[in-house]
Amino acid sequence: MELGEDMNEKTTLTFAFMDPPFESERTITFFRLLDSALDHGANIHVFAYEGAVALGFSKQQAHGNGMHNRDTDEENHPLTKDWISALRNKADSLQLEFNWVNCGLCVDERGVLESVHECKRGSPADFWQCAAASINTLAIGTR
Amino acid sequence: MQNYFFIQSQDPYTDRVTDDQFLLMSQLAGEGKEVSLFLTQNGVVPAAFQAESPIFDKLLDQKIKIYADKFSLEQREIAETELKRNIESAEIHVVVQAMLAGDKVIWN
Amino acid sequence: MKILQVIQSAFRTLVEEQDDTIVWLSENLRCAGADISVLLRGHACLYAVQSKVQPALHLGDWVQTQPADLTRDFANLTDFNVPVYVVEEDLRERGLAGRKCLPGIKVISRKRLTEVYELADQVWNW
Repeated sequence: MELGEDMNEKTTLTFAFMDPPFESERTITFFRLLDSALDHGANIHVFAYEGAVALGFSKQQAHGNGMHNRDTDEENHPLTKDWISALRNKADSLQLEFNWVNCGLCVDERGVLESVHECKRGSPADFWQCAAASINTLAIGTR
Repeated sequence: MQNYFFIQSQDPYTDRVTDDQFLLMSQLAGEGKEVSLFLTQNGVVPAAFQAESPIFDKLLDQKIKIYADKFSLEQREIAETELKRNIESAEIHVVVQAMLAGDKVIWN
Repeated sequence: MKILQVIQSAFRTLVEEQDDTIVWLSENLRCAGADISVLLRGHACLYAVQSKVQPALHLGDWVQTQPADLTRDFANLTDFNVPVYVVEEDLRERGLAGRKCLPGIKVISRKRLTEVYELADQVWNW
């Protein structure tokens, strides 16, 4: 995988994240940070580690909410794979890079092999390569 | 000299490490380092006016810039007028600005 | 660029992943050429005083054959001159002050933590 070659070293930020979808408020803050980074004109690199490799799982499915009498369309349930696509679209419209790397071994053990096309497979070596080429990196651990 | 920008998502009521982070911030500030703190998620709870958090409260009178995430405050219905002294509500942009400025940005 | 890897969460993945995933990541970063140091805080101080392989899990007829070995993993760091620190007060609070640390792990007082943070260009807190 080729990473970082087209990125302007001076305006690239790297984020490492670990949480899967639906389990932690950290996931929301993480995506808000990515959105904000694009607003600031930064190219973005994401290293999704452990549970975070499920964020881009293409087989996530929305559902209705009978408790609130909403069908699937009405509920419009958030799916993190859609957030990734939305941020990629925003990056494209701003002519910014948005590279998302899933830790491959983490993907294998979780069986989340089908990702949205924005997510590529990689390893900790890719994480280091991108962190080294970025002006800063934020690691968000899990609990 | 690099500045420190702490993002505190955990709170001292449920996570013991939070107080350790506050002590570290206090130590760094005491040594003359530029330290900022962005409270987010449940990390905003000790920022509320009558919240009991003695170790956090010690930061209020040190030379530490303290922000509370507007989104997190709104979720918890903590009004900006209900914040302790020397705390400013802010958008999450301040975190990205710190990253772009090359600060040591540290999440907990 | 010097990176300080701060590990606070402990025992979370040792059985399922057969590794601490941040210690494992640190080993990988070192192999990839990163200039890292490691700081064990909170319950992660227990890693500094490990002396044997983790117990193997047995569930029904499933038996773990490769339990985590933190003594090996920390040797993989310290043998390659990666500085690894553990906080003295964290050990003492947990009644571990009298236990021997793994070779190469440096015990530092909380008062000196800022020195470790100052040495790093970036701090990755996991």
